[in-house]
Amino acid sequence: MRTIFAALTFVFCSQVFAQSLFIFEDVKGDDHGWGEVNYPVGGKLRPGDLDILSVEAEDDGDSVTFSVKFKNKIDSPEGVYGDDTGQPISSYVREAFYKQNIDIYINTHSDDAPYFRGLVPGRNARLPNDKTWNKAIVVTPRPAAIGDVITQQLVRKLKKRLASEGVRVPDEDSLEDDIQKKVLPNFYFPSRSRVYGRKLKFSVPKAFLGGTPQKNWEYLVVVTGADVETRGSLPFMQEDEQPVFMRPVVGGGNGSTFGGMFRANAYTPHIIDVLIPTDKTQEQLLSLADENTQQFAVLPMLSPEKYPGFDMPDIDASFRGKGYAEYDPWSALDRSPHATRSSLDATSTNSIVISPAERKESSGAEKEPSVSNHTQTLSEKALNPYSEEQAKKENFNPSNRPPLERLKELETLREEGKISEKEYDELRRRIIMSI
Amino acid sequence: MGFKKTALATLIGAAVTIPATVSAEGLEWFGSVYVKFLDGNDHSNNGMYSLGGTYPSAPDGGDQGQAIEFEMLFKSQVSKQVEMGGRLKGRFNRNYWANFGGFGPGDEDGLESAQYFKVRGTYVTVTPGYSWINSITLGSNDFGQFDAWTIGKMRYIDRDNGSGIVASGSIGDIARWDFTRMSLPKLWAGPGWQTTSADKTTRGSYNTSVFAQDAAYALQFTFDGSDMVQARTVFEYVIDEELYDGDDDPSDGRRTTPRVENTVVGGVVSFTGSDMVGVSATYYYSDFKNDLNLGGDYGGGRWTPYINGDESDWAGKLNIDITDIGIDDFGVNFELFRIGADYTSVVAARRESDVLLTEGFEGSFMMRNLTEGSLGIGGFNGAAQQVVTLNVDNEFADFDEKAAQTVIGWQGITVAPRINIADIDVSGEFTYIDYDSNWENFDDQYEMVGESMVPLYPQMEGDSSIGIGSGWRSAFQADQDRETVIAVLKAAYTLDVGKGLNTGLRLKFIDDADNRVTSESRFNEVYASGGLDSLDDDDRDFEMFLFEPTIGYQVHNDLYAKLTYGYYDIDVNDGKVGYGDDGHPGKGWTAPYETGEHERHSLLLQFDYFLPGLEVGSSLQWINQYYDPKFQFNNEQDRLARVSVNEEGDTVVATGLGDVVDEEAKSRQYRMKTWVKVKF
Repeated sequence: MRTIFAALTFVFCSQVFAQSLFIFEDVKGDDHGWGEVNYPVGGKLRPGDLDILSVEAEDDGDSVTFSVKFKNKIDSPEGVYGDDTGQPISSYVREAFYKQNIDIYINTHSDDAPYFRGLVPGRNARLPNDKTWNKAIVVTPRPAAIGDVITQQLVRKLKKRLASEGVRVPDEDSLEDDIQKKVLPNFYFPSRSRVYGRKLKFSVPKAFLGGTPQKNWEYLVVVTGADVETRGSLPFMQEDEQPVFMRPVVGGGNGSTFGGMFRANAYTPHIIDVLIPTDKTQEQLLSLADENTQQFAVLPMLSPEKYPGFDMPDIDASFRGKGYAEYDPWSALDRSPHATRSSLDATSTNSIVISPAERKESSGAEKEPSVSNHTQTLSEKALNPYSEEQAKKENFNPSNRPPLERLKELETLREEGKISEKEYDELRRRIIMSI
Repeated sequence: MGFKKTALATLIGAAVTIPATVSAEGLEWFGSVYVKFLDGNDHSNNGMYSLGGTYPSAPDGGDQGQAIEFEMLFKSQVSKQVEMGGRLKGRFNRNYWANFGGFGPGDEDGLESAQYFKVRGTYVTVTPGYSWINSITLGSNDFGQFDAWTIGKMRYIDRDNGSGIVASGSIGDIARWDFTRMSLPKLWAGPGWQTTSADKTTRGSYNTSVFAQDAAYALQFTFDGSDMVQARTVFEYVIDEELYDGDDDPSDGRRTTPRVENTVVGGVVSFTGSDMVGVSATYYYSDFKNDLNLGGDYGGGRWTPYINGDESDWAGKLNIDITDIGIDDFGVNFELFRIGADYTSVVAARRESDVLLTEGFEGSFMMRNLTEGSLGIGGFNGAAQQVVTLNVDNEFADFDEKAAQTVIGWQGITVAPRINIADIDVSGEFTYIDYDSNWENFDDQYEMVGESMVPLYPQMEGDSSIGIGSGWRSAFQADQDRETVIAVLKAAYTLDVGKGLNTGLRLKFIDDADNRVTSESRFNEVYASGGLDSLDDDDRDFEMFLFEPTIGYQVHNDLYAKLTYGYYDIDVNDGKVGYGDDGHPGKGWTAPYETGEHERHSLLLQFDYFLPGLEVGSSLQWINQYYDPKFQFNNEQDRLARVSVNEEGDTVVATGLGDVVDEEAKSRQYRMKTWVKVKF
């Protein structure tokens, strides 16, 4: 009896006194992407369902328990049916929630490689040039199935990239194998999450994270609408890409997808909420996505040692100036998601920038991109559109090179047979459009 | 190659991958293919649903066959402000692969067999871009913006069978509004299951009955501009008109008069300002008017989904969810609820909604007669969902779906604690239900219909309403004094075996008692023809104990398997003697004799297989059921008078519900459903 009592006491105390590692808070009522995104009109999701309010991490012994709080009570999949058939989704959704995907990208500043900059395929956003992640926690109603879907997407991306570079494309099985071994281990898909009202709790083993989270670890948290059913690709997304259990942002008004008065394109961010503690910053950054210059939205990372401050991403100079306005037919419209871009200025008072002195003091060194010396495999590069050399350069901005120089180099590549005619035509068009 | 990679990257200043050239104009096509396989020991070929439809000539349902359903969805974002879409769907249900494509009489001219494509779900959505209106949708809609108490889900084949106008907008940053005009479904949204006084299936009646302008209107405001409070208010009005009989002169148009008018007002207020507790209060008031003399052959009576007269009532609940009292992973949810016996919302959710916290009754004992459809003794798996309407619908559904059950008249309290101890998720429930429909003789409420007096309250016995565990549509009896206690204990734990062995246990206890007639005078009136001797003789006592362990395992990355065993131990003592055509107890209405000991063993094996682009699910179930009937005799003479031997040599006992064989009855059911879904 005494042993039982002691055990219960231990369990009780450990439950009550789990150590809090950090709490990040987000702006309330910003579950609208870049500001123009509306929830699906049919009521499948309601405003507030994806409005993240806070993320807390607690040290739970050999694991870390994350607690994510939303504005609305989190709904259970019990009694919910698929979009078109009478099949209850609980027959294949075994988690306690079904409306949300939560991505947490972490930079542990570890020497372990590899590091990445892209988010889960289809989210359509990335980290800034000087930020990377090496651990990703993807909380989804389909944790057992999502690994396969991500693998498939990465295989497609990698094949396309290799083909465009003129690299002989290995067979899909070996690409898949490569990704499963080198990329997927950097993802963790929690299962057996628990819901308490508005809070979603899940545990992540420290063995995956590489230890107890430290104050200098950096985090990016994004929320997308979950679609528990697997679907084919959607034509406005990147070619052959499919949403990874995600309800996309489409525009218009639809019962199943996020809408608004805009038309989605291959660079439209499908992210509904980002954990950023300052007002309007999320809207500013998500609106940076630009189809014409093939630019994804760039999002900041938070760390406990700097919170509530954070490093505002450098805004690509190519978004400023009249050249962009001339080629963007949407820029003159007041409600365009891109309209505010020309007014953005990294040095404006709206930016949250840690002063150089503070940054040097906290990091102890001049800031360098967190890219290891590990040579990236072909699969790892699928997530990172930049080569290692480019990633290591601070403030890398390819578009800083003069267009004429780039056109001359393109001619050289064609003459040397390193690119096809089709590739030549397409690249030439894009260089000219960026002028 | 490395040079080329770098060179290309610098040339274009972005990702090397070339994005697809996508045209935003024109039609976009999507689709899905759904394949269903059924198998069972009833060997019924009446359709590819466990429970079919009840409209004339509808397939009743079956447990055999293979069939495929193909659906093409099209969508076009015509401009930034305008989108349209729809579906082309091949009809299902009797399109067996064994039809071999189907030709000739019976197959080619049968809508469910010939797989004709039907246009469904067509809509236009306009997002004009004004600050006060977000979108307007014309056409098909599932009206999911509203709630189960007012305008709810009403799948009858498809979720978007309903059509209307839905507009949504914002009032600054603090509130949103939704408005709808939904065309009232003439198939079922009225007394007698239709919105017209004449036969809805007869073309000749189209000029004499009015249905096309009947509609449900709703205006909803959602306020969430505060950190502390969220609120939603709904105003709903339903109007069903018929031609006015007194208008003999059509030269100035034809007058109409309301047959049904239904107003519902109410809403939900939630307190969200605390991390420790969430409080929400739901309240709806309904006013229902039903002119029984305008229904023609459908003016009222027993078989109708709405009360036979004019009444007002309220329904609501108070939910207090304590989520954080300083103990990690502990919470408790309290819910007080009341759904008045007269609460009526014509288009409240019929299914796929669960308005109460309690698990309620089990769907496993909700079934049709064994001769109708092939749902069989197994009913629907799992606990039933609760909806606030008499107009419950479980048709075109399979045994692996959740049944819906009416909770009209329910009032009570639920306490549901939950805790995680040492990685074991433990949750429970205690529910006590009293009934607003406890009365004698329908509370003396009758209405004149033509030259007859009919009870205000319909009783839809016959639609599996008198099965053990209660049915899904029957909320009213002439005499009821009922209370129910439900207790549930659930636990879930993942063993550290392989990829993790998910174990679970559900224990459930239901005690449902109904004293029915409780006064001597009423007893003498009801049972004047005999059959019962004392007040307790017509009582019903139902006790159910369920023991249900489960084991689930991720066999492979793509395959999950789950095994569930269910042991039901049910004791029933039901003194009913049948129901007369007037709805009162008395001989005449067919109902199964239930008194005795029921024991059911169920083994359910489920698979879920996933590949990117493909989803497969399967349920195989074996059910063995044993029923040992019990009888009560007043005395030895009574026993001698009622016990006899039939031609087969079986001992039979005469009861108020017919002769019952006095020996243990064994039933067995095997059923299988496998489905494959591909979306493209």
